[in-house]
Amino acid sequence: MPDPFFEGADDYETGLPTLRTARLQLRPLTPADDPQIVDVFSDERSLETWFRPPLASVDQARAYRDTLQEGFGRRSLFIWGVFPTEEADGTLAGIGILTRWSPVHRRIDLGYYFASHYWGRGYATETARGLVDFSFGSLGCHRVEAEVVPGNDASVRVLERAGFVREALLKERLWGDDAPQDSMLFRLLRTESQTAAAS
Amino acid sequence: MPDNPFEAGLPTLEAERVLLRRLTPGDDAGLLRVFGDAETMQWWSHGPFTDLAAATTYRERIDYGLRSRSLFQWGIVARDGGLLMGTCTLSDWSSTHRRAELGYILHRDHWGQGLASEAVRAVLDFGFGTMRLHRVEADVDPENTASIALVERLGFNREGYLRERWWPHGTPQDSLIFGLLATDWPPAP
Repeated sequence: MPDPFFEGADDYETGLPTLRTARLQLRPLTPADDPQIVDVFSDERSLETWFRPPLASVDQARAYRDTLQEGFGRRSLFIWGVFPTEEADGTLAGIGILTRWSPVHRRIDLGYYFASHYWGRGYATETARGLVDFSFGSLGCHRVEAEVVPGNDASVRVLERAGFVREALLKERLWGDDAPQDSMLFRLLRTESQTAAAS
Repeated sequence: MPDNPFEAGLPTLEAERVLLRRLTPGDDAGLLRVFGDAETMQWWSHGPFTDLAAATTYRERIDYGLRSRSLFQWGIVARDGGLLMGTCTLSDWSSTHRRAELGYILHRDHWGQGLASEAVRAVLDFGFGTMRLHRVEADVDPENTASIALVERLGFNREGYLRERWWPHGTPQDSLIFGLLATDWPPAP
């Protein structure tokens, strides 16, 4: 079966490319990052809109990285650690996510998560733009989708600043906090994005 | 209530005129008939199969989807005579979010008799019942008026118009997204 871009790479740490934006380095997570992975994923404020349980130990961080390896191998999940260059080396601020890649339908889903300490600096918008560029440029995508829970205004603004357009309100599509949550679907097309001018 | 409704494989579902069951190698010729017909395939996410090998590969992928619990695709079979008429699918199952996506296809020879509706109802009964889904969604070509009518009759709500979401035949294709919640199943008669 064709394996566009990754061409048979089976190791997440060496196969997922490092991406660079103006102030951020996006790279695969490694064992050395485990303590910071715990910090980032035990931030109560951030977890409120994340709908996944916190990570409480380096063992759980390692198990989490195992899922990233598995997802990379299946080409179904790509997660980068986001490291701001204006912080000390190895300071993990959050993650950037591409998932549900369909090379046939040239479509992919985008997400991100940042520890609350790093909110308000524009990192999520910069990460989103970097992942959009990678999707359209390297992965040959035509359409990127993102989901946000209504009420998460900060995340809506991130997507809008990155050029996304709201397309649909999907009723009770997510299950979080033991109750159904609506989600808003946003899209960005290659032909709509600023990347179109560059490529 | 079983934790894993698929522990013993794909359960057979029964309706009045159709059965829904796991596809087997003996179905490959029937799959080619359904998925090889251009008119039948005009609303599908890829073009028609051109040979038996394509049908075999497709069925093997369905088997893989069952084993990995990501895709549940039943053959729609006439109770009277056993003819394979199409398939019905729940895909992208998220047990975390209690949600799956509905799909179906019926060979054009069997259109207009309510058979697709009957098959879809049986799958939704199973989805909302045994699988304990909270939400089922359906992605439909905006020009597929028959499917739009079918899902709306079953209570699906149109939630959005999605631009250029598919590349079935070499050019981008829009779609409509519909959602149906367990609280709205079954539909009022």
